[in-house]
Amino acid sequence: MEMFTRGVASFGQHFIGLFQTGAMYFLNLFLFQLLPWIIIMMAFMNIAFKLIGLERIEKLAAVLGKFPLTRWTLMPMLGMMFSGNPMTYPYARFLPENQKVAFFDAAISYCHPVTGLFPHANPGELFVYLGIAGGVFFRMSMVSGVTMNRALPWLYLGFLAVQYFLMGLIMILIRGIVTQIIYNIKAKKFLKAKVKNRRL
Amino acid sequence: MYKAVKIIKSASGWGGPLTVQPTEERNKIVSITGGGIDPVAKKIAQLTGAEAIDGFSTGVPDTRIACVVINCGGTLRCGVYPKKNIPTVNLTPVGQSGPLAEFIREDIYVSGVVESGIVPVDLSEELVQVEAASQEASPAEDKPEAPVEDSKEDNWVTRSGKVLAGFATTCVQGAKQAVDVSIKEVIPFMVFMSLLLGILEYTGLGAFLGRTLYPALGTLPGLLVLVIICALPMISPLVGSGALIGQVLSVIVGYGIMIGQFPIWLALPAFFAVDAQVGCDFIPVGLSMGDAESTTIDVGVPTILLSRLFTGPIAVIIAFFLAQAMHPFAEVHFQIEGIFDMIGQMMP
Repeated sequence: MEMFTRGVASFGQHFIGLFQTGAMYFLNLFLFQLLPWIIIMMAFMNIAFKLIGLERIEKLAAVLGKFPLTRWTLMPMLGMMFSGNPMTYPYARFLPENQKVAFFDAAISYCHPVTGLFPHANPGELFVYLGIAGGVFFRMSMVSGVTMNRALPWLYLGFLAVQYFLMGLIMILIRGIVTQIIYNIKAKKFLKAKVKNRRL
Repeated sequence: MYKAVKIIKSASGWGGPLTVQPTEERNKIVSITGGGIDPVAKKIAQLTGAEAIDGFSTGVPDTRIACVVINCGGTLRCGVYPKKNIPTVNLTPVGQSGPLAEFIREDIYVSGVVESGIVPVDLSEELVQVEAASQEASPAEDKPEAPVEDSKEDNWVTRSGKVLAGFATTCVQGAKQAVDVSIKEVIPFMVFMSLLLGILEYTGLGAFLGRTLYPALGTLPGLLVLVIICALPMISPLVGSGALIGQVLSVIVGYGIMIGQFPIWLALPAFFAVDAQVGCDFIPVGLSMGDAESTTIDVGVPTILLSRLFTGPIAVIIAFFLAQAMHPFAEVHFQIEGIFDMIGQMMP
């Protein structure tokens, strides 16, 4: 009987403990630390970008789409900041047909790097950034306990977000260039195949 | 004598479509938009033959109102008239909101209305489709400043009041939206990720990964293997869906950083290693959102999948060297030299 009681108690303890640990992370890392910051940040972004207005940005995006360098960097960036994740892809309508694919690739590749500084752009997929950043935050909280520097986790989080944002711009530039080259080759092949088919 | 009109919401609006049929008794279109008669109210009046009235300067008994036009940002007005069972047209795109939210129903309330959303009933059948098409083409109409149109007769007090009211509405709307999004999109993921972290830690799986996976993953070759697996054209459309795999991978890497088995300065390349497959399931949809032709989409899908195989590893390599170059400066800047070794000794 004692064995049985002990077994039941131990099972219960471990079963509960499994979720207790998760709850600890939920409360101490996410709810108390990161969520308030995200909500306040998103509120500010929503207000600021709504006040600036979408029409002006769309006009600007149409101009930025004319130059290759800005088409694969600033245009997706502005689109993400003002229109957010799914509504940036319609910006491709400002571009000629053969540039749409490369723009789309650049734009969708930027939907996660932007969330470090502008979480309102893609709130549903925040954890691509926040998974790693949360780990860094937690680790830095330990460091800040040792060094008595309470601001350290936030400072490092900001450092990380800016790094991700800028490196994301470099990445989408490369992605835009490579995708455009591959697209040109493939489109040419596709056209040739089409002409051949017609002749047959 | 009075004609019926159909009122359709814009892309960002809520509720409706609403059919308004004024009668001999109920023949007033009341515009309660902070002074002046709004163009939307004017158009409804013009199409129905009813009389448009400025509800702010003239009081109208409820029994005479055919419908009201308001520009409420989601606090009170938008619930008051639906509660009285009066058809309500809100110019601001707000859904069920405010203390009277329970009375706001689709059969009595329509929001985010613009002038083109008002059509005579006899024409409405074919216009609905045109309307729907044009709404998709111009999704930019959620500006609350929109109704501030016929302000020629207004004096500066009214005008500045309207601007201030618009500003306040925008602010509150933005904050509300942030809270809504947090509850609907962010917190569920936080719960899921907490569960994942709890399981990793409590079952000892995390510690096991700490001995096996993280030391291998926390190097340039390890990250490159991960990114190439994610970017393989056969795999990327499968793991790209909803960014779920990317988020789970990110949390697993984050846990490695948390327990100190994954170098913290490799966070930057790790971002790109877990995310090479971004949006690969979404390519045809996304391209057609940008009005791409079907041949472009046919060529575009394999193009992007192939491009990821090259650009994924390139991004990881550049990020790796960038992070490596910045790491010593960052350590000095944040005054954390040698601290990680100390904590490493403290942790089991």
